Amino acid sequence: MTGFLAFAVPLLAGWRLAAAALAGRTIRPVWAARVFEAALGAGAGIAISSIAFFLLTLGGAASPAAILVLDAALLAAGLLASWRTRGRRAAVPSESAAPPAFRWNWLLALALAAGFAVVLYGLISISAANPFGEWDAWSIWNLRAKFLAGPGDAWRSALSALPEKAGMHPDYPLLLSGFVAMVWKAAGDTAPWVPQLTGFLFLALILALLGSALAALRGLTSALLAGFVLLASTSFLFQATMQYADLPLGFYYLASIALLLLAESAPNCLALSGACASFAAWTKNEGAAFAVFLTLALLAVDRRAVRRYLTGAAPVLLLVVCFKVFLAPASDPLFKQGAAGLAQRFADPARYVQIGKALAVEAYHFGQPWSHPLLLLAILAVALRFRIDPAGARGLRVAATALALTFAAYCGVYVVTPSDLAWHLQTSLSRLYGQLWPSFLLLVFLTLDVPRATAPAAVLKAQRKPKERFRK
Amino acid sequence: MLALAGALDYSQFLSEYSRSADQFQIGAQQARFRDAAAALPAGGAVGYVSDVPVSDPQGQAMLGAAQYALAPRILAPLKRGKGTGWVVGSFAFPEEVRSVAAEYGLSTVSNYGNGIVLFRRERLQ
Repeated sequence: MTGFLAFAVPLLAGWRLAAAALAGRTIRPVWAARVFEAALGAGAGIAISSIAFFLLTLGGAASPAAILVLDAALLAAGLLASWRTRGRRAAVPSESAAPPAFRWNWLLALALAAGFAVVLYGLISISAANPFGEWDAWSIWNLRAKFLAGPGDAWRSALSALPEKAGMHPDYPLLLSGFVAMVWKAAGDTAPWVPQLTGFLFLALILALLGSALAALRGLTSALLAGFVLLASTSFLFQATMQYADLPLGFYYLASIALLLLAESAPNCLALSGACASFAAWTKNEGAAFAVFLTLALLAVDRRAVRRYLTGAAPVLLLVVCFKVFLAPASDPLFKQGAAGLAQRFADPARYVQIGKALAVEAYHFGQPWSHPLLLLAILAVALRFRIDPAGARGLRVAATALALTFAAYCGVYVVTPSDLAWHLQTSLSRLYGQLWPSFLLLVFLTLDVPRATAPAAVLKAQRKPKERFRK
Repeated sequence: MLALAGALDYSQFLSEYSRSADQFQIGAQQARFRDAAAALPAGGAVGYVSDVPVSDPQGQAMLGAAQYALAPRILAPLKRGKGTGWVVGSFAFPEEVRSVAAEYGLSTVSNYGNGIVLFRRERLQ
């Protein structure tokens, strides 16, 4: 029961905090706004509680009682914030409740739910048969969670600089391990349901966030179609059973980008976008690269927007920098290699060919051949054609630039990795695709036209009124 | 329709895969190490020996499984002439226990069966 409370309360607290932060924002329709704030808030609650637990641990004050007090304080803060903004919530105009124009959306929704029910049943069977997850789960993420949840100074082992523990990646940030450890410490055991449920939760949060963001920006039909493409992304869905940090990272990328795009009508969303990018940096090293690239892409567009974005990002980015500098210096061979080896690998054309082939092969294996998500996207592109909403073009450009730079950085790491390249590609590339996939889908569906007969009146109306983004 | 048909096809794959999902038997390792874990201190460093070298992929998997089962204790593969204290052994071939113990100067505290042995190393050799 204590474990369940420690798991659920941060989600509830985050939901109320997100509801307060988004109160009065012009996200339409209302149901999409509610789903968006719930999904965003649950992810934010996990991040905030993970950070708070880490600070408690660092201060030697982590105990089951302290965790419950912390959770209660978070929940109280969330409830207070949402109570103080309740008036703003009531101001949402009734136009947002406009019914979707496409009369068969209910059938699409039903089919999508049935498809996910079938796949989820299979994924849950896998997780039940393999409750400790895949290799990196028990050798990195959950192992470090066990150290963090241990008695006394055991948490220091999660950051161990012992050479034989290099495979545990002690320099990786601690969002996932911290959250799992917090629940374990509160519960007094290390039951596998915690990382199992966390994996599935992040899959659900991605679905909810992608669907609600698209419903708000492009209409319900686009959201449902994106759901079908996600349903066909089998390699991505499988990550829910793995208990790795890639799915959470994909969630924070998506949240950051969705908030950036929603900032058109609600500039304060930029601070939340920055906060989510910083949560990504607290999840995995790749997240720090994403946060930097998003900052640079924003900087090229609007300096004032960067200020707002950094207001949200700075606190956790500062924590990540302190973590890296003082507690867990880079131990990855990637950062320890000499300049000679780096230059040699950089100048080796065979590596580029090998990486190119692996990119193609993994892309092929991202779904089933005849229902491949890229094939579905191609069919939709032919059927719907592309049409970029001029009002959203700049936000799209910023997000696409940040994602492209992040992907380029991933490829750059493969070029210079001192590890065996074939092994490195084979064990990580599909997960890297998975990190970027939800955000990529969001951007693709924002460049695809809305089926004319299906566009909600509010969406079509908004499309006719392009307006300045970010400058408010 | 394509996505739905793909989902059905994928669910069949998942159903087949679930029969062999825990390929490293991590679940079984928790039970295998339970008695050794109860006998060890709750935290701190513990030595590790095996008849399968940790440089070998199977040896890496055995060490990883032992480390996960015994965390928050931190396991360090034993080196000749270095380290004293508790040592846990995980053996693929239990008949190797005696020779490995002799090689590293270990005295057996308890043999739990199933390839798990708890040792002490008091003096360096």
